[in-house]
Amino acid sequence: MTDLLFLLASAVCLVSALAVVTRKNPIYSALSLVSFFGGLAVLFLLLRAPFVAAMQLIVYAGAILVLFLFVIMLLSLKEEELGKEKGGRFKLFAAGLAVVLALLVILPVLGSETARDDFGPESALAPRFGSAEHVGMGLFGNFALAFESTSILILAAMMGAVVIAKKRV
Amino acid sequence: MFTLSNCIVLSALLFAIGAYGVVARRNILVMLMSVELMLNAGNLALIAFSRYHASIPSSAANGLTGHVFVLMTMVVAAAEVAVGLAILIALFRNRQTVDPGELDLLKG
Repeated sequence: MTDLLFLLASAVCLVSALAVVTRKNPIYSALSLVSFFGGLAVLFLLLRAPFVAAMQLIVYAGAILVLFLFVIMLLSLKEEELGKEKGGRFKLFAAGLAVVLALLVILPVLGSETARDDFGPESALAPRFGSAEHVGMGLFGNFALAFESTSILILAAMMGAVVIAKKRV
Repeated sequence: MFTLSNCIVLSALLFAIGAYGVVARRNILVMLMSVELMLNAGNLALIAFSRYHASIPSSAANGLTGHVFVLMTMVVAAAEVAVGLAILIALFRNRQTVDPGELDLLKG
């Protein structure tokens, strides 16, 4: 059952990721991004990270994607305003680079002989592993400083975005 | 099938697809989306390693570090998209293009 779900979610992720980078119209790219985030959230659930999966859907599919769609609709690009895509030879070169990049990771991973490769039994995990409660205890415990400093980052990004996008400051 | 190696392989594939999008596409919107793909591929690897190490009883880490890292990545990604799209809007207002190839004012 887990294997089947893993295969299904991986296939959804790969296909929609390919759709994101190949569609000419940015609207289709943004909509493919939704199914990519959905597939990834399923993978996070399988990996026993329910809180991160929920955040994935809320932050990425909820906020970031709406921002993308909003900008796409705001600009409403015409055919000639879309970037002039490079020819087939350049794309082939880029695809070659990407394949090499992927192989650089995949070959060592598949070639290595680890003691165990499976994720281990569920019973070995801490109770309520990955729940909001469990992650929250860490966020407000060991990682409190990092957690609080993200608020400064968000504040800076928010003010920066407003100032940059404004017509006159 | 559902093993650590397969998760890392999937993560590498997604990262490579995102890298292809950044290199090959000539539309800043799609390039930003490809950057999101790459960030998410990294998140997948972090969560997979987190799950792997959480079930080792002798391991000192309680498996939480990966989850916190992923949440931090999400914050950075959200900030990056907000600023990136603001720059894009300002750029489009001035130059009426989303093609990075046409933005060559700094070229000598």
